Amino acid sequence: MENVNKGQNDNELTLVIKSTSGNWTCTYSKTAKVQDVINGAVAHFSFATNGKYELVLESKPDETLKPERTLVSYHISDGDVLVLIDFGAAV
Amino acid sequence: MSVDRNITLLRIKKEIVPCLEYGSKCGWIFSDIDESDLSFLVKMKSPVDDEEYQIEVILDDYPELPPFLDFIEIDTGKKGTKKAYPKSRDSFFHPTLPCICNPCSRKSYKSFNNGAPHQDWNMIGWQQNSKVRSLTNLEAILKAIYLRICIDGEYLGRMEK
Repeated sequence: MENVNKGQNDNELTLVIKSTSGNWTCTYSKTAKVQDVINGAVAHFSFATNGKYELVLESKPDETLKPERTLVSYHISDGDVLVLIDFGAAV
Repeated sequence: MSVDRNITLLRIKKEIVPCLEYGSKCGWIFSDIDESDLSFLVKMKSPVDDEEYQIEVILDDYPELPPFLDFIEIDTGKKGTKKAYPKSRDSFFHPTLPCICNPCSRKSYKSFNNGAPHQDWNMIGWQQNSKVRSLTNLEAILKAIYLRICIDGEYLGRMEK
């Protein structure tokens, strides 16, 4: 779903993903699932792939985005900022 | 102390900046940094049930040693009681002691507190413990705590009423 090199079209969204390791600007299809973005961000920031992560809109930090839902279902707009958060392991 | 307190204080002042920025969006309320014991308090409210929690963060010897993280009853000031702690579906908020059970929490190490759950961890090099994942700085730790009191079903209210 990630397509950072292709020119943007109406079916794509450019997003900024913030994490404790920095910011990442990326482009995804509007119909990409939240989990696709999480997976891409985890890989980009080289976070442990066996962890549990959540995405929230920076403007609504107390509402996690369900991984199985699409970006468009949350009315996410071009340029929106999402925050990737490590849920933390319980051990 | 094995880390010069001025070094720790500089580190805290640097790391607190993104915490304040993100916390302002979440309604977190921070105390000033107490430079005498390198600590601060932060209050967070769960959007699930509007319960308010207060976390004490003590950072002597940080970052060589993990932060000491504890919850305080807001109305009585009692520290580390089950009433002060949130309850999670998993054992992140661990009823033993209670404590935050993750390598980022000094209180979870048996070498720090004999009643703690983990004698298999070493505080020195805590950032390299595979279980800590990205919770190696104050921003990540506070975000994880807040996230855990935001998700209905993962957050189960207070550990003890």
